[in-house]
Amino acid sequence: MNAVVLSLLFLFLATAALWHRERLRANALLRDLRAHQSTLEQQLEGVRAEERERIHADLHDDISAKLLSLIHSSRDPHQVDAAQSILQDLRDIVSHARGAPGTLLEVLGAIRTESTQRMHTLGGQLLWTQAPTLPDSDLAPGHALHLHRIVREAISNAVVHGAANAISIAVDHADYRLHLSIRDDGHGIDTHSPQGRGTRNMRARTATLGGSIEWKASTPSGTEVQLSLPLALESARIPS
Amino acid sequence: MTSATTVGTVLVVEDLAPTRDWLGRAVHHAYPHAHCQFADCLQSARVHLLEQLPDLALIDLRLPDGDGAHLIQTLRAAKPTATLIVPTVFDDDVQLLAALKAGASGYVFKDHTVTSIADELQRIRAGKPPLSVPLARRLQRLHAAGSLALTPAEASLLRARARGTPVHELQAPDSTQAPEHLIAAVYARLCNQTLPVSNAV
Repeated sequence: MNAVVLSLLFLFLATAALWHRERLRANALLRDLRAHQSTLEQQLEGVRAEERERIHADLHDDISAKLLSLIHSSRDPHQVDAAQSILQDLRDIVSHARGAPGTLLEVLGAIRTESTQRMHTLGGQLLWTQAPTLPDSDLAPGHALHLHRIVREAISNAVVHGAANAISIAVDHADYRLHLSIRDDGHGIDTHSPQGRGTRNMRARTATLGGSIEWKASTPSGTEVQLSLPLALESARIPS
Repeated sequence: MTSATTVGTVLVVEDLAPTRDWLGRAVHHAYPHAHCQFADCLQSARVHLLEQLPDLALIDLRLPDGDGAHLIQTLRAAKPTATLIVPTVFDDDVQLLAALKAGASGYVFKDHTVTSIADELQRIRAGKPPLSVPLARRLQRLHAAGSLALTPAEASLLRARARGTPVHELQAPDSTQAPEHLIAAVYARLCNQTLPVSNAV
């Protein structure tokens, strides 16, 4: 009887020792794997950086050169604007691909600079008002790109379809939401069912950001685009 | 003071013909009486430089026979008062940063209008260069990494610009100095980083 108890005890201790050894070995293996993974990630980053520079050089030499010759030879301001918008998209994609992180205020600043320059080229005006209390939360690069594109598209619609001369953009926040209003003095669009690929893209981008977008008739004329985005979502830090 | 801002001779180095014409029109708009010469590669630019060192030069970086930054370095050393401007497409380009390090005074966007490029040329000539948000961020990273020594005023200006504050709203703590002059000071510092630290003010 005693012998049975003893041998069971021995078996138990042996199993426990074996299990403990296996656990240590597994932990060591995990540590190795993690170290290996971070080395791989660093190597991948290196490859990505090289790849990015290669893509950048290609973009520069091929596409931007063609767009520039279009901008520099065309006499049609709308054609020039179209080429400039594409070039601006390129700039965004390149800096996005470079993984340049941006905070909300940085991204809004870039949007403001670009929109002002663009309206200047088109002979119009841009009025920008921004609440001084806006939080400077981190914005995922993808989100920055979407926000940029939504505003760019809204300006395109106002200028190309609404023949607007002046655009006013107001940025504010309330209840952890960012509110962006883009008003123009154009002849207005059908606010009930704005059509076209541009507005579809704007809806899709807004949905990706978890926000909402609406088109309203502006007073005394023109259109107002109201964009509302959750700020909490944007403050989620992206892993560096 | 007037002699420092008078522009008698200009050199435009750009390989793409429509862009070269575009930049030439901007130069003419800004300085109608200046004598403007054109080059489409480093080699041809060097031939011009042998004859005359321009007061103002627009130097493209990606030239068929090499990097325009070399030309900027040469010109900066030969004529410290010259205004050397980089026409660019990408404002957070590694090459633009290298050009500023080589001694460029500022940059203009090739895709901007002739009049707005002309305005920029005059502003840069007056010591008021632009600073884009992406470039400010890049410079801030350099500063954070310890590779760009700045005064507290310059560092705080860079930080505000990186956060998107428009240049005219940037406030220099010392109100006698325009924010643009501080930007020019940052560029000058960037160029002088290659010199021994004892030379830095």
